[in-house]
Amino acid sequence: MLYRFIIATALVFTGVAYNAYADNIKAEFSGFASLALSYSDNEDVAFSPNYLNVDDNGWSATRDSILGGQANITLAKNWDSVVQFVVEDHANTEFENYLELAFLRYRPSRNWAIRAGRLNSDLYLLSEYPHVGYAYLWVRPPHEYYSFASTAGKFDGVDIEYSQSINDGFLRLKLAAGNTTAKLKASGEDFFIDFDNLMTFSATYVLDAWTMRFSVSKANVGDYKFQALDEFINLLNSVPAPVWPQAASLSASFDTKNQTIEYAALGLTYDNDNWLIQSEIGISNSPWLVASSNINGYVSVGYRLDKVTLFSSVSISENRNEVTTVTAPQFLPGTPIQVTLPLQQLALASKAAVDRLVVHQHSINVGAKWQVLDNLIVKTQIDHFDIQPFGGGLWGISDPKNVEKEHKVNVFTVSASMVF
Amino acid sequence: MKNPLLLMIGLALFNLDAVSTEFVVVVNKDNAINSLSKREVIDIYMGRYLTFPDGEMAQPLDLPSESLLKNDFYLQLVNKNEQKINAYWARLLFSGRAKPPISAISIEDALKKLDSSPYSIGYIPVNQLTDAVKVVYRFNEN
Repeated sequence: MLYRFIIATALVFTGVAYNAYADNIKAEFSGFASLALSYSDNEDVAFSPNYLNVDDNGWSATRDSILGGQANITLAKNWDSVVQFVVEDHANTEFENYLELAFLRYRPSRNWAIRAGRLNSDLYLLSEYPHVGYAYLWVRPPHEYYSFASTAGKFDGVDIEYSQSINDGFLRLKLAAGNTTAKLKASGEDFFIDFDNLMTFSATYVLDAWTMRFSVSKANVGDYKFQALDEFINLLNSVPAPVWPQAASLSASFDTKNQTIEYAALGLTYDNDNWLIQSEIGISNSPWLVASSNINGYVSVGYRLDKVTLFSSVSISENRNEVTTVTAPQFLPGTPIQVTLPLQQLALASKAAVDRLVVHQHSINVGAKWQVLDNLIVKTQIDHFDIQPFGGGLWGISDPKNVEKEHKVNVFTVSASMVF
Repeated sequence: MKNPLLLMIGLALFNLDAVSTEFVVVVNKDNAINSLSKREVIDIYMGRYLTFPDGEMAQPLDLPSESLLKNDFYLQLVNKNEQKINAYWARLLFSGRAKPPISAISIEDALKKLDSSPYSIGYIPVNQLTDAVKVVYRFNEN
């Protein structure tokens, strides 16, 4: 609530200042867009560029298409505000889900900046501008690394940044605190998850052709809204411990109470002459089964030939810990089927839920980026994904039988990205 | 946004310049800053700092897009061509960090803007230097 109040205050302050001092205030408008056509060739699993968006297969002109608008408002010498809306194919279409930035910033000196309102995370190299296709090499940020990251890509809160030139390099340190609610859909139903007390520290150092970023983050998983999960946890809680001892621990692992997610990430970019090399690795630690502990990363190499850049990447994301094994309930001989059948079904449902959420996949892509005009880039990319059995946590899988199979998916994409 | 005729004339004129133009970085004559190091010019032109070292606001100016002069300036400053600089500024602008330099439509326009604003900082070929501005950095110096 505190952070919701901050974002509201930031917007009201900006609006009041704009009306009161309109003569001295300067607003500048800009935007970005990507128009993309893509084809995902596997009918059993549905692709989505990130966790917040609709997943589907076959042809799509909306999957990676994006339209963004931004206002930069200069309020006074040391005060400014930025508001940014991004329209994309979100599964949840609440207006608030499209507001990416809405902050008020104060710069007390050239080294310090304090922002309050709706902010973008700088946990990863691309997480401040994942929607701006013009600004990066691929048609979309690497799926294994950025898909789940989208759930906490924006947050409501405050951050403080310190910047300093050091020898020939430039260091930026940032500390951020806030809350966010990831608004997703699962099986057509609203699935909202609160991430409370989100704290992030990042350090970025730029030296000539090198950019290095290290970040750590921690958040408490707060309330959620998902009727199916509610019902599932209630059923697990109703099972007497002697009948199925594991029910209680499964309930605790699916429930959001007392769950904390920790994250550490390291990113490196080398951009010199014709070569553009970028790599990131991230490790999460989470006992919450809905977003269990993972390791993910990618390496991308691009080579420029005048206005065309050829590139290729390999990416991986997989579970760090052993997958929870669901043991069947044990019954005394003669236990009536009215008791055993529902519990056996609940155990099977628990196993299906555990298996469904595990992430284990890797991919390789090749592509080309062509600078057509000063403000227009055309890209084409082919991704080949290999999803391991019980590893499709980042994909839409409607038939439970497909969870246990290995899947290979090719995604072909052509996109045009521009800034204006 | 841009006058196509002016831009074409400008581009034709700029194309006459050699690739290795000798630039000077200039500010308004009333600016208290008398000199900048190359790193301080980089800090301002790459959006790292929004002020001069004395804390006064800095408004960098660019020469026209897709001109050899702009490309050459950034190659000399940070070894990045205009294509890379455009992608860099898209990242900074849409991450909410900073706004890109204002684009002048010609060297004369840049000199006019420098003359009228105490906060402006620009770059021009040394052979087009006038008394209306103050040189704070020369590329042939270390």
